Amino acid sequence: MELVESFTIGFSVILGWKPLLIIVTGVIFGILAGAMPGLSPSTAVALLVPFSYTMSPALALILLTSIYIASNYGGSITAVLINTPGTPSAAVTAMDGYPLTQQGKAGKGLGTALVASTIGGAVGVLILILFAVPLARVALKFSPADYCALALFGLATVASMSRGNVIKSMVAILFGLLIKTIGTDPISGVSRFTFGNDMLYDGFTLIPALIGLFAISVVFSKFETWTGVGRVMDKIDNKLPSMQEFLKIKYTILRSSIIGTIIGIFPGAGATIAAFISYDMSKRASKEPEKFGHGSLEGVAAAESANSSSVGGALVPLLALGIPGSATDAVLLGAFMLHDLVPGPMLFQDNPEIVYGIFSALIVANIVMLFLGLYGNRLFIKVVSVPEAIMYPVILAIAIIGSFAVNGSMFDVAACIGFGVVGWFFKRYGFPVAPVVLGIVLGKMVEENFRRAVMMDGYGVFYRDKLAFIVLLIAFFSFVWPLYKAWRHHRQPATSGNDEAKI
Amino acid sequence: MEYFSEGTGLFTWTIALVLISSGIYTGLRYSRMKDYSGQAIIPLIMIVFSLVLWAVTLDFPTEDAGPALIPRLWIFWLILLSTVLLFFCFTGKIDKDPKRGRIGFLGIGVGLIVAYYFAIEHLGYFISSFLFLAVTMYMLSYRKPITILLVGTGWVLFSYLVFYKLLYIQLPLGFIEDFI
Repeated sequence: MELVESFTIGFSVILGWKPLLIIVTGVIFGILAGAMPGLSPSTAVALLVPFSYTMSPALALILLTSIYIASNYGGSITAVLINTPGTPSAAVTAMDGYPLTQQGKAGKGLGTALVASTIGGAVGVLILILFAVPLARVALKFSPADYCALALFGLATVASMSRGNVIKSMVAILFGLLIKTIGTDPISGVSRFTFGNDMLYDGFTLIPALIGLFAISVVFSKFETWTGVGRVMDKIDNKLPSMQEFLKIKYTILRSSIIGTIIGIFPGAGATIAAFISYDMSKRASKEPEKFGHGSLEGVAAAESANSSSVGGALVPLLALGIPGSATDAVLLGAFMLHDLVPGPMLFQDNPEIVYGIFSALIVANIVMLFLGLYGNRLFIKVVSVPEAIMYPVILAIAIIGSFAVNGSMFDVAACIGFGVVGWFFKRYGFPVAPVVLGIVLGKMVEENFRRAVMMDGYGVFYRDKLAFIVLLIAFFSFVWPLYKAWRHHRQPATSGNDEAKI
Repeated sequence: MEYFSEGTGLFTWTIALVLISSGIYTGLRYSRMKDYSGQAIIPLIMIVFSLVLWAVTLDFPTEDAGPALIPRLWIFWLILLSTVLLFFCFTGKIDKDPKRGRIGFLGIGVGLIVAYYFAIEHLGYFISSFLFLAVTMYMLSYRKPITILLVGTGWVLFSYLVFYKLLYIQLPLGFIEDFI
């Protein structure tokens, strides 16, 4: 009964022309941003945070979560049509989506991606509601040591699950954590690393840093590899898959949606890993595994349902514990902070209209996405075809005005450009950028809770508190295990004549 | 040691660290591991950055679980892991440097955005945004003047209506403020 009452509150927030218009706008922007190669969901959400500045917190978060869910689908459009994934997770969709286009069945590929995304998104939201509410209740009893351990666990899994070099990911996280220590110490009030600059007393503002790391760095990377050759899109057919074809892949969609949501819950795993694992499992379970990679509708459905459902999963730790599970969640956390809200168990008690408003908006956004996808794909494709020579300068202009708008400060603009250069440099040498952001976002949570726990109960609290101890142990092994595996792999003699393994 | 936490001491410490790390980079650049020298840049910057901040923490109040505790913890791990990465650069157990892209072109792009930053303060947001968009599009080989004009004007109008009028963001007006 309580859940029904809460949802009544949630739907009352979104039923009205203004919230519905915001959801539609968010979905359209999300699809377009997701479809543009180079603009990830986190970049799309980061660019729109400043636009939500003067909205009510509920409407702002409804806008941003609508963008989040739709951008995951948007990535599949260019993946299917031109073999250029708009988002990293759509790379898996391209494996079967593009062969469909080559066979003249682009409509079937896009239709399957759309329906699978919608169902995946809905399953993700359902599991989000089922998990987040009870988890938030349990989290009310967590001590500072538990919170510190959970945040460290989140950071450790982000490092261990990132593709590529684990040590580079860890360096990126530590850099973010160290950046977060700049400014006034949250407990003693001592100024740290401000070098007498008043603008640094509160540390770097989160949103400009996010925009710099996610948006400006992408444009800089594009400049470095600039060829001046634009994308070319052929005319596409618009024939959707038949009902029979949909029924054939129903179990694939359902299975992948559940897998995607569960993987999404783990910090750092995200949409891409969810899509790869679901694709692999669907291939193993399929009656026609030989079709995978050659235009299989099952392949498209597995990848898309998993990456869309991972959104719901990733929101579980963010909303229930205040721990972002992905880069986009870190941006959302920044948006919560911008509106003086702290995600976590208290949010469910103090602001149920926001939590259930988000849940309700995600459900509605999925439905809106289905209709817009069915009737608007042709239009989206035209918009996405905008020349990159126009798109990138406009992204830079949005980034600059967005970072200025947060505090009306040119220092934030300078910081945004600075973080853009750092982000480009990191990307160039294979250091992931998302862990830097997660370090910045979780730094305060780790520090405050760690020091509170030590001040209250001494350093032994992390040994005496059972939950904190177990979580820290898991965090330690989840960090050390990939390092050990890489070390073992490195010690084995090369059998195929390939380059030796890189740690 | 506290001498190095501020003023001349900190400056000397920073310069010494920069010189040492530049020496290490140059050594690597001209050794047989030169293909990995680029990979050493970020670990070296991280080590210098960490050691400079560590010197600053020497001036922080010394108390149990005090303000220096967490920064020093992160600094310790950052130096340790960066040193490991640096070791891999010297032994070739890391990815080779990426191919050199159009760094000059990127430099122009970064230069334009820095010029845009300074222009906002002097020319004001609207004029400098129009100029920035037009020049950047031209730099990216876009050669349709009408579209360039439309995009620039469209962005100025959009930012004026949405940010200036709707969201009440006080965008810098520069010298045109004197004429309003």
